[in-house]
Amino acid sequence: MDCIFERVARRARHVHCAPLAACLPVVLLLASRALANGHGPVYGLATPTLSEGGWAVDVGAMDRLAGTRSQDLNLRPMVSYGLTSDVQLSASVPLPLYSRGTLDPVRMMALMPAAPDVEMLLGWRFHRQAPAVGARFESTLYAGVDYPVEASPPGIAPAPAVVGALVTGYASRSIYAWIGGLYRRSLTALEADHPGDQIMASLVLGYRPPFLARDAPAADWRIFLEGVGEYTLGDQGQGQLAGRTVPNTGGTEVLVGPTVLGLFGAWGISGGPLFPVYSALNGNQPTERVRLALIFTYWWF
Amino acid sequence: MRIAFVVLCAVGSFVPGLASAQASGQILEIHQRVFGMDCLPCSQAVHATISRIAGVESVEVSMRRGGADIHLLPGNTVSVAQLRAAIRKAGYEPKETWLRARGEVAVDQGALVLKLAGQAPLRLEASASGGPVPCQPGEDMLVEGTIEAGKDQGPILVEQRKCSAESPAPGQHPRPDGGG
Repeated sequence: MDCIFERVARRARHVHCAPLAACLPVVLLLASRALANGHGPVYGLATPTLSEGGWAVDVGAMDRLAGTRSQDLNLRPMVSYGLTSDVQLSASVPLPLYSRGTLDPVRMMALMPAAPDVEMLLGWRFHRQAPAVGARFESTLYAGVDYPVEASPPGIAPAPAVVGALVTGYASRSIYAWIGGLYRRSLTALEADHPGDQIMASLVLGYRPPFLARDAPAADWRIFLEGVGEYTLGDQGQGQLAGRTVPNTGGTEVLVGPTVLGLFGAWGISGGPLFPVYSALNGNQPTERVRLALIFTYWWF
Repeated sequence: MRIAFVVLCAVGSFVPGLASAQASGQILEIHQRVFGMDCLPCSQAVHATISRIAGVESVEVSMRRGGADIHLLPGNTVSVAQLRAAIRKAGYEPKETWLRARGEVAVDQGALVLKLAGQAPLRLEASASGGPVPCQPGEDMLVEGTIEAGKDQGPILVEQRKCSAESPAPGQHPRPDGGG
């Protein structure tokens, strides 16, 4: 049985991610100099929160288990910058640690793909309204591009893709709610080899008990109930290989789970599980038993 | 030489920009109400942008109370518009501003104004809730009052004032949010 380090090393060689892996210590070094940030759900779409000139570094890890076995273990650092208080630019790079190649790539977190793509994402908060102390309604449009560094699913030629998403929600000192949808489309002809297109919808409800609504230096905690739906549209949602649809790709899955976010003045951590509550996957794909994610977040202004 | 100096001073008193540059008045303390801050990072973002304003001595931002308490350095030229712009830059909505300021009262376009260093004078109005009328032109005035949301250039609705250099005892006058 391979040790994880051998797998990681082989994987890194295979996907030509060694330069990206080399960047991780730099990212972590930057993060160690940063103040903490992080303010939102783990899996679901939300609105950006960076101020103008603000920087954030997120490092996320996600594992997808089918049965008792890990199917996909990914690490992904992401750097974000607030161009204005309403426009945020994010860039993330993949560090796939382990993959059995049996599951379709999904979104790792809402703003990070699990596919081995380098992603640039621009978020524009085109609407915001603050009706009271501690409360605001806001809506954000995201547009981005993905550039693959590895075939995903394995065997299907990688293809660049575009990503678009829309999310709207309400945040207050006690209640949070966001609803959003995301679409990712490969930039290839339908008959050319490419991974299937993806549609994701998410609903997030959050709560912070009144006794936790405290100012610094007290920690800021809140809990979320997150629901994510992943859906594909016919052949377009399935991988294409040599002019034929790859049978074991695409389908519909709905996952729900609790997550928690904690902010501690200089850094933040969030994470939690997602459990499938509905699954109708094409072909003979293993059914996920649980999806686990953990995000460390840091920021500075 | 002396004549030239006198002429320059006379010209300066009629040119608004020069007049404000000569004014020695300043804002001493501000409580700024902020809408939309729901989290610890939000208050930290507001704290960071306000702290960068030259002349700010200390800032305390409270998510719980939805506001920022700002103490300013002697000789500062910080304006309410500048402060509110910083809060918008952080992504949040500045509402009413309570302030304590000291400066000379003057008349500008028929209205009483408080001359402040490095910025346009702020118009003075008696508060609708029955506050005192401002001091007379030429007097130094220590004023406590509120600038309404959306009116970054004033006026100050005067709640308390002293027409001398003597300041009221600290904490004597409650602020709009009831905070200390």
